Amino acid sequence: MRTPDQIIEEYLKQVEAHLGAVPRAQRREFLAEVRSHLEEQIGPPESASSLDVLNALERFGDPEDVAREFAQQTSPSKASQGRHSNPPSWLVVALTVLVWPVGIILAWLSPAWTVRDKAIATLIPILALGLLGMGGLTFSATGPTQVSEHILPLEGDPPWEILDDQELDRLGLSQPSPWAHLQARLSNIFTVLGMVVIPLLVGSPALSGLYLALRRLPGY
Amino acid sequence: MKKGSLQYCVLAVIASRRRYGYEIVRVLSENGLITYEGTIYPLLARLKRDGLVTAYWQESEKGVPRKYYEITAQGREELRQFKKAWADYRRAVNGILEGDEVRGENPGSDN
Repeated sequence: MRTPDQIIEEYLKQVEAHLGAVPRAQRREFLAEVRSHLEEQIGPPESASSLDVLNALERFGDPEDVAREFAQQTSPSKASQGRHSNPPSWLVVALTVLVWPVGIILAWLSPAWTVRDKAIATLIPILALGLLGMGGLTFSATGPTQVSEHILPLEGDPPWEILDDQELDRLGLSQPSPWAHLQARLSNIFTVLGMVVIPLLVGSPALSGLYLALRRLPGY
Repeated sequence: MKKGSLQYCVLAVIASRRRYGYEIVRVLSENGLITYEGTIYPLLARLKRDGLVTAYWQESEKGVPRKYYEITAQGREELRQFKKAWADYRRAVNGILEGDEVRGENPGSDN
């Protein structure tokens, strides 16, 4: 047999489970108010009978109904919500995957996710872009050296003497043709594109959308 | 009409003095206006959100903290307007209902 306190706790848990996107502070305050009401009704829980508690909860109402009504009444601009209802969450997820900037903006405006989840979904592609940026820096540092390996370092003073083609021919060195230079560079670019850039550009919005799909709040 | 007028009943209950949630529920319940007591709290939250009441917590002698609600100037104004609209509506309905018994002989005798 449950104690009156346990019965109340269970009821409050059920209410909380259906509060959806209500901010944490408001959530706590509402549950405190419900508890206050119930304790006013039954007196101190230690000396109340379970029957009194159950009756009080019965009169209070279904926890899900109470919670949903509260969540509805405390959403910021209820008037505008009534006239232009929020886009359905599946649409927001789809847009996040296909047209990420549009999708993520809609997600921020939507009540279907907590701020924390919205921030994480936003960060996923940003971090991916950050990785791309770092990779890009590395690439631009290493890329050209593939070509410059053909050119031997020359002794002399100053060390970086610029030789014209005639002198190079005399020394038996050949400057790689501009075409070979371009070829090497292009193959680097395509490698990087294929293996890193495209998967990150395509995959990270998809990851972002997947995260939102999984973290959707109940009732949306 | 019932759902819409409930919020004004809440405002009327706290118009003369502040009351805490449980008190408000008691008064409305005794007047047969509530089915489920829990629905008053979301309504109070909406009134607060719309600026018609203010609310604050206070310790009570019983040890259970209570959340008190006070009507605001805006709340008073809306209540005033509702009272007028409600009186007009009541007069009109009564007129029709009484006119049904006394065919147009004493229109609007009630005030």
